[in-house]
Amino acid sequence: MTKAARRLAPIPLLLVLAYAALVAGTPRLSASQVYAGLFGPGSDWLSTLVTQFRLPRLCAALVVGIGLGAAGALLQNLTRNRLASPDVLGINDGALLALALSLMLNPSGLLGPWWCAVAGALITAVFTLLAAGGVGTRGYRVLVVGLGIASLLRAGFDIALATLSIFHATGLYAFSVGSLAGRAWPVVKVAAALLGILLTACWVISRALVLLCLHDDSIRGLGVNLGQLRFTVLMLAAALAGVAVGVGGPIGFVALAAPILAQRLSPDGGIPVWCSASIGAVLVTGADLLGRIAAAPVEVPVGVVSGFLGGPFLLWLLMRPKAYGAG
Amino acid sequence: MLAFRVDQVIAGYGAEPVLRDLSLQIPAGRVTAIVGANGCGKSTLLRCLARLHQADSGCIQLGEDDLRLFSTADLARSVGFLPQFPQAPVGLRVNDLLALARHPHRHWMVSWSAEDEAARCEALRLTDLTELAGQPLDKLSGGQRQRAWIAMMLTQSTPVLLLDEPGSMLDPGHQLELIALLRALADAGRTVVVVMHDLVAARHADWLVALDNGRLAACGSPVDVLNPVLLRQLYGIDSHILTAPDGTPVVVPVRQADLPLPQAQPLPVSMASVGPFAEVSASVAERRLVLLFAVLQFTLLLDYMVLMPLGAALMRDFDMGPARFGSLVGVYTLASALTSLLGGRWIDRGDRKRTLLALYAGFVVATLACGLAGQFGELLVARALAGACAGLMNATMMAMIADRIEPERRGQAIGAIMSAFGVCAVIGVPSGLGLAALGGWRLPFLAVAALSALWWLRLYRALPRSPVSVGAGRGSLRSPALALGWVLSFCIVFAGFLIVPYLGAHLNGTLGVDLRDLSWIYLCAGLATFVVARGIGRAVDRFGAAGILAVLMVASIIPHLWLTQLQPGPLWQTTAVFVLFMALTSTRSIPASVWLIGRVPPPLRGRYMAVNTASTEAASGLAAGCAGWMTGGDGAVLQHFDRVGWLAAGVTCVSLCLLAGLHRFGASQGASTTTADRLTPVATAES
Repeated sequence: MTKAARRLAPIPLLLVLAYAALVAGTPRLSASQVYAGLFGPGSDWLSTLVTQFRLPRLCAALVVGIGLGAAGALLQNLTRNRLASPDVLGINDGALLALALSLMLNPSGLLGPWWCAVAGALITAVFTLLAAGGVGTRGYRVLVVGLGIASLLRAGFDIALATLSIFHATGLYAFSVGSLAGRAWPVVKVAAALLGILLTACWVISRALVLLCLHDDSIRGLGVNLGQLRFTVLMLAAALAGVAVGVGGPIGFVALAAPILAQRLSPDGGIPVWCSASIGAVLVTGADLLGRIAAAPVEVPVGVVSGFLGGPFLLWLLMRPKAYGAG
Repeated sequence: MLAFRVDQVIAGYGAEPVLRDLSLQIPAGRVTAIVGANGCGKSTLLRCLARLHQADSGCIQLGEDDLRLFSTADLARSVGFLPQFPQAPVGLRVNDLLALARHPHRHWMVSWSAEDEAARCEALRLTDLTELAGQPLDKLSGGQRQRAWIAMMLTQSTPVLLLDEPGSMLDPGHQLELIALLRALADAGRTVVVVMHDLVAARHADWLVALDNGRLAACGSPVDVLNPVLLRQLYGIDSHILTAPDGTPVVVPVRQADLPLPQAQPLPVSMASVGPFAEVSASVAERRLVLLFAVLQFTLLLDYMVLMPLGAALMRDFDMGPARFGSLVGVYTLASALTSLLGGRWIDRGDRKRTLLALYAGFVVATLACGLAGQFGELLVARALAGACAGLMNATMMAMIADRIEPERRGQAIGAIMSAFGVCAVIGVPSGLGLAALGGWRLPFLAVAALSALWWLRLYRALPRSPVSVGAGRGSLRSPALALGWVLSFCIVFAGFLIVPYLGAHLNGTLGVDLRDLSWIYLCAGLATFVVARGIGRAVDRFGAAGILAVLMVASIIPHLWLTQLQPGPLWQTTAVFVLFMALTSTRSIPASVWLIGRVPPPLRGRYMAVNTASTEAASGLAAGCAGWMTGGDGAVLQHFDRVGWLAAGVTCVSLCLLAGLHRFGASQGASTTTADRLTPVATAES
């Protein structure tokens, strides 16, 4: 298989899962019913079910998956360490804390404005970078500092949760596990637009991004402003993760697993961002689908499913002897 | 033809320089070997040539141009660099590695041009890797891998190639192969510079640069330069030099020289370094210091300036009158003045960085406390703490600037830091008020606390340690010339603060400017201050602080009188006069600070500036009170504001006389700007 074909491998799987996400659930729909619901003519309830419930949720899953997958790939390229992900670096916790703070200041909505998560993620990333004094050559420094900041922010979130009203606290807690329940068009559309902008920025820097696998002096010798590139990549990753957390909560393991799977698909060089993004979309869509149908009529939050499957994945990863970037 | 001309370069990583005043030349189209013992600065020199490391001073020319003038992309098209231990991810193929090297040549729209492909094929052909192009790098042998890295450099298509010990991991056969390749490249017209510590290989070079402990030991062709004396100096070994059949010198080490080295004779350098020594502008370190302080100053000013417009919200929340609110402002000033007076003894002890960080931490706590305060008492204490820290920090900052920045660039530095005032007025305060509108009056203070905490971390990382020299804090400030300096800054600030606090009332009450327009006028003034502050800073460096200060004082008398006697007129006219007033009045502190601090011996600077802060704080408080008393100070309309203007003009004239007297006195005493800096701490301790 050529390189391009291998990197496109997740797309057919994604299409199958997307179809399944529209069909499955209660009530189960047939292919023609889905078509009728999407493009008409169909009954009102069918159209509402497909276009107002299942389709926005599918889109939310795609946005979250793409965001997390791309953010993970950017961070792993940046730190040259395959344990780097927005949850380890505290970016997810920062985004969550920002949501909790916005609820403390203005307790009107159910979850607070989702874009606060993006702001929180960006601020956390800057804070982590300053505290670590740079990314560091092998990325260990920023990871270790990020771990510390993550637990600090998590504690801050727990305190914030304790001060909120029980109504908000319950909703926010369920969200903090990672859940796509009830995400509707107004949020999803704006998030998708923002995601589009961020992915465009990823595309613009993609050529310089590939160089990050080389020695620092080699990168700078090729005419790249390394500090600026690293900062841009970190901010992009934080914003992507922030969008994902704002829409679907801090769904664990996706940002960690997607880049590693992407690298297994295309094992020659750095981590392909687009491939990782599409794998992220597959993982989140699949996990959400599983959570909806596994224990129906009870819905298992997508974060629980991904954690349940991601834990063993992490163990497998740690037990494998050969590490990425060891060469 | 020269590839590089290195002129009096000093470079290093910490306090101790690795390259000490190095001057040499490297010919174009030849193989040059840089040799020397471990840690003598070979790699640092190579990194300087590639501009991967910034020299602290001196100049490096690539061809005809200063290396610093190249854009990053241009440099990447001119100079290729191969680190000693290059790295690539597992699984990367030779082809893909080579493709990465085309980065500086590729247009962002074109994916892979014919030119790119031609460069890659040529590189593969030269390094004899065409068959292995599809192999992953980690499957190659050591020699093949090194060839792949060199192929990567060649793909970059640069006329100059810099290699850091490329042969150190290779066996003799592969080493010879490598040298043959480098020779072939040089014969094809490229300049090759190689760092080596192997003298067997170095004899194949056309040109040898030998470094000894950061200094040039020899520079010339191997036949001329290699001799036992040099080798003894470089490596501490005795040796014989033989001549190989091809005419190149062969080094045969005999034994470790066990005697301590005699003072080695400096060897004749084949090519003397010539050429003008490029003037070094403000170094990176200085600019970074100024930026660090400018943002620090921004946070201090924002905390101070944002309080006033939040008055209404605070009075409502804490159920207090204007008088109690006024005490919040007053306690800040009072605390600042008091700690400046009392803390002066402590401020010149130890490391200034530590002092500054400790004070800044206090400031962060104070702003945080201010944002979280539940009662009026708590708020009052928080403001006092903020003022106490801010006052001493200003003095410490000024002292650090004077310690680390040469007098001829201080104006620019202080101007840049003072321009934080403009940024604060234009961006800081409006966004603070925006935050307050979003989430209440606490939010701006919390934001300042967060920003300051971030900047504290940055300072902790980036601020250079700044120990105060021996004998610090001792010595006496009781010289009339120094004490009159405080009087001068007292007068300058007094004149300004007679008018500044009442401008809102004057514009709004007397001149009938709408409140909404008022904020725009303040914005304009902030913007003007920002621009003018930087210009004044430059002018101070160019024409001297005392002269600029005098000019500014004379010039500011006009808007003093004009503004205070202004009658209601068109808005543009009021705005113009106001902007002129603010731009001239607030920037007077730049030449004043530069001039004052230049007169103080280094170990006393912190204390002197602390007392100076106290004096200006006292001046601002007294002036506000005095003007309030003169204008009746109760209603919306100010009475006799023109008299305040006359008083301000009078005080400015007094300070002008004071400046003239001090300047003459200082000149006769020989304590001018530059001499104070040259004074040794011992000499000042005796005085």
